[in-house]
Amino acid sequence: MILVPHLNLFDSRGNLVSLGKKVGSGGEGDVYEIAPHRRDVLAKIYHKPLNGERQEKLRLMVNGCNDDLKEFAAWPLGLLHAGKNGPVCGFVMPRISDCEPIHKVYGPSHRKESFPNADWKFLVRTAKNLAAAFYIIHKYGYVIGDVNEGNILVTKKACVRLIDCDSFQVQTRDMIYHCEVGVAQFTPPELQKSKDFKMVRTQNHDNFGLAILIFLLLFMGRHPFSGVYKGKDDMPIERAIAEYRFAFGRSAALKAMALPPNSVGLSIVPSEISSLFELAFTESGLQSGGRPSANDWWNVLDALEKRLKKCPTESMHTHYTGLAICPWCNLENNSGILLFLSSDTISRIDVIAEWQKVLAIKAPGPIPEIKPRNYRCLPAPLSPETARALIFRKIRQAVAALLLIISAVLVMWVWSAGPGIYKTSDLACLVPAAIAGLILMYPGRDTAEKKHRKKEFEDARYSWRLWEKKWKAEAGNAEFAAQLGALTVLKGKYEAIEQEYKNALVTLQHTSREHQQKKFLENCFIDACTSPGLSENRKAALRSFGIETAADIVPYKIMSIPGFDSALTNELMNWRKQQESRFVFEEEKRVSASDIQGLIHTFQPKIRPVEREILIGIEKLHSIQQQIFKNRAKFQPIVEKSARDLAQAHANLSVFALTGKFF
Amino acid sequence: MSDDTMLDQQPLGPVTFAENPEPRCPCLLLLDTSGSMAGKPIAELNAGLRSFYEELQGDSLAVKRVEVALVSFGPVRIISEFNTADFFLDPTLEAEGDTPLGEAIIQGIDLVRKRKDEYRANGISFYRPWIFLITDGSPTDEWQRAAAAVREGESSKSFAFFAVGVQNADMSVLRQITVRQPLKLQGLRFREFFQWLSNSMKSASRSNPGDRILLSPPSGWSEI
Repeated sequence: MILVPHLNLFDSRGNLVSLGKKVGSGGEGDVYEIAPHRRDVLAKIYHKPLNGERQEKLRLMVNGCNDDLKEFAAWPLGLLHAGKNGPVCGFVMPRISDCEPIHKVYGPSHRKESFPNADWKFLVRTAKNLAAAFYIIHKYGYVIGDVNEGNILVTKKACVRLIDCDSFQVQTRDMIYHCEVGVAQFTPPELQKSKDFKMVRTQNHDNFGLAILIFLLLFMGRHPFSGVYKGKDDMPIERAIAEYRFAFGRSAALKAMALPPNSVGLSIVPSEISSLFELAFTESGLQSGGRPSANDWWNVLDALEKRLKKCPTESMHTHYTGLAICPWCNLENNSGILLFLSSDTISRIDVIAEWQKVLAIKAPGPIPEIKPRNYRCLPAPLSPETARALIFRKIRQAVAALLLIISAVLVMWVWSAGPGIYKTSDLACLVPAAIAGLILMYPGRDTAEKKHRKKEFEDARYSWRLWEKKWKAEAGNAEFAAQLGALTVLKGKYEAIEQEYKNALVTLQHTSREHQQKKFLENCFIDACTSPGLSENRKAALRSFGIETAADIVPYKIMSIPGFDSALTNELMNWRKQQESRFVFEEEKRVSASDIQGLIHTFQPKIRPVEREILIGIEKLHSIQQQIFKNRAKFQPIVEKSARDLAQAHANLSVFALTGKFF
Repeated sequence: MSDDTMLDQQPLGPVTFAENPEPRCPCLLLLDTSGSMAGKPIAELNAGLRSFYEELQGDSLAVKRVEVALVSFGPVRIISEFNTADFFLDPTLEAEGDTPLGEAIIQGIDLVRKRKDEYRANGISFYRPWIFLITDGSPTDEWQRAAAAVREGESSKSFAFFAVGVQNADMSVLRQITVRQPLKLQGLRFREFFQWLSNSMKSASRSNPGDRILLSPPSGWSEI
């Protein structure tokens, strides 16, 4: 693939340049160190020979280089030629190190890993520095063109660095050297429709990408054109940009867009800033110079920096002073995610105090018992006619019973007389039974009343069953007990994580002691050993076996050296022990703050969701308890009435002697 | 977190979306795990899959943008719903059963549809999903309905569907299912295939393909 012979590489003055280690590789070329020992620069060598235009573009960039540009950009400092005075095949550029791509700064998940100490102030500063970088590029007449999340880097101090500068658009009085690449997410609406990037790029185009990046930085990695789209069709980001569907803007609703869940809106920034976003992301930005310039952004971000305050509850939360409540606490509490790691403790709550709150919530206790059988009711009196009809019915029932017995006796008599032989006259045995049937079916005056009472009873029983179910479900203490159980489990989880963190701290301290002691022993050279058996020759022998300090003295190593017997080994071991006894553990150097912070940052994301669930759980426990008490007070009279009604209906029906398991 | 508690469930989706609002690049793999894959083919498939995820995990932008779902068939099983590569649980697929290719496609398309709905509800932009069908046999169930669903999805640009035949795959059926030319895997070059796929996903997650499908030529693993 590489067509350029590296051995034949010259700078523009005709000096031979030799390359060192390859440090990077891209689509267009590879990046090398320059041997010997030029730590501050790197060389980019293209895979393929460059055409005349590309060579000329690089030449112009080298000529245009100045201190402003090379301070933060991997700007071409000098050309590299294939052969003495040969074609340009690469260039020398400032080495940019200790940086991360900007997407690791604005994306919360990566930021917590790569920039654990970064708060919103850091993000505002990064945005301001980004505006400064664009300002300088634009000031010297260049256009970045390919603004994207990968070629802008950020240092640990929020400084911005630009790489891949050879793709910038370079312009002279009569020639434009194009930037032929781009990434749609950062490409303005007016360029979205073209299939390639062969057009002239303007600073107004760059300013769209700048506004997108500033938005990503200030709004937790949310892209301004990624919202909840109300339509049914797909809304890819490039279409949303082309149609000016700024999801956070004033006219978002008109564009059928809404804020994504778990995001913050434009209200978290001062109005000077939100109006710049409106300008940048709507049709008004289209005309030349319509979008805020890098300078405009720098000014408002600089002003914002002076109006930041720390949240009183979480020191890592910084926000605009114009806000009454901390937007990050709000978002973290609502979403359950951790936006910023905090530096001092793993937990934001005091679990013991929280548990006191749990214990203070009085348990509702078992449900008050309401049962129909606890009500003793007398049957409602019957009207005289019904009462008489009932007595008559009882007499009829007795008669019918008698007739049935007669019938049965007759049947048995016929049966025993001659089994197998039946005559038609034998059917006469069944006549009393038939009469009994007629008597029983005779509709007395009581039937209507009985039917009525039975219906009442059934209605009452139906109603009672519903009330009983509701009573148990809504006034019972099962939900409270379950919630309390869940909280206990959560507390256990919380304490387990806390314990794990404490153990890790102890291990850290322990290893730091071992580490210190090892360091100490590594400084006790055997030259200083005055043990009588250890002659200079023997010391030399030890050294030739790699035993130079007390730390190296281990019995099995010594024994394997010719001429070292166990007596001599013991002597050496004793010397080592003497040195060990001189070792003093330096408390203050015990564990560094950054070590502890590293641990905190590991444990914070683990404990934070549990913490949140505990807080929500306590609130829920309290509301469950309140609800139970409220329901008990509310439902008790009506449930009792239902039970009493059923008991009464049962008593009423019992006069008709139809007892059974009714409730 | 709260599987064993009575607290309100916090669905993982929206939370992860807030933490990582990058646009998503979904890729569904429909993997044939029928009996005929037993032995070396399934072992190679597993190894290829593992390297695929490792490649994606090693790329700081792709790990935030590429979401992979796995559906195996023989019988149809959703091994993993759409998730970024850092959530990969090494599944070690086993070869068993027949080749219910039709059902796998239908379920897979459903999975893609659901994920797209989640993206929409959470205001997450996404690229056109890719579906890769990898099979070594011929379908043992009704596949015409699935083929119609694939054609429908392709014409409405809901997804891009690719079919890869392994060894004795019935290429004529694959040709009837996809609107794109099915590809034939050279021998058992699953690793090369997944290497190519992860590279394609990585570059797709960096650009904005829109209507265009930016696949590099399938060299190194395909017979064509």
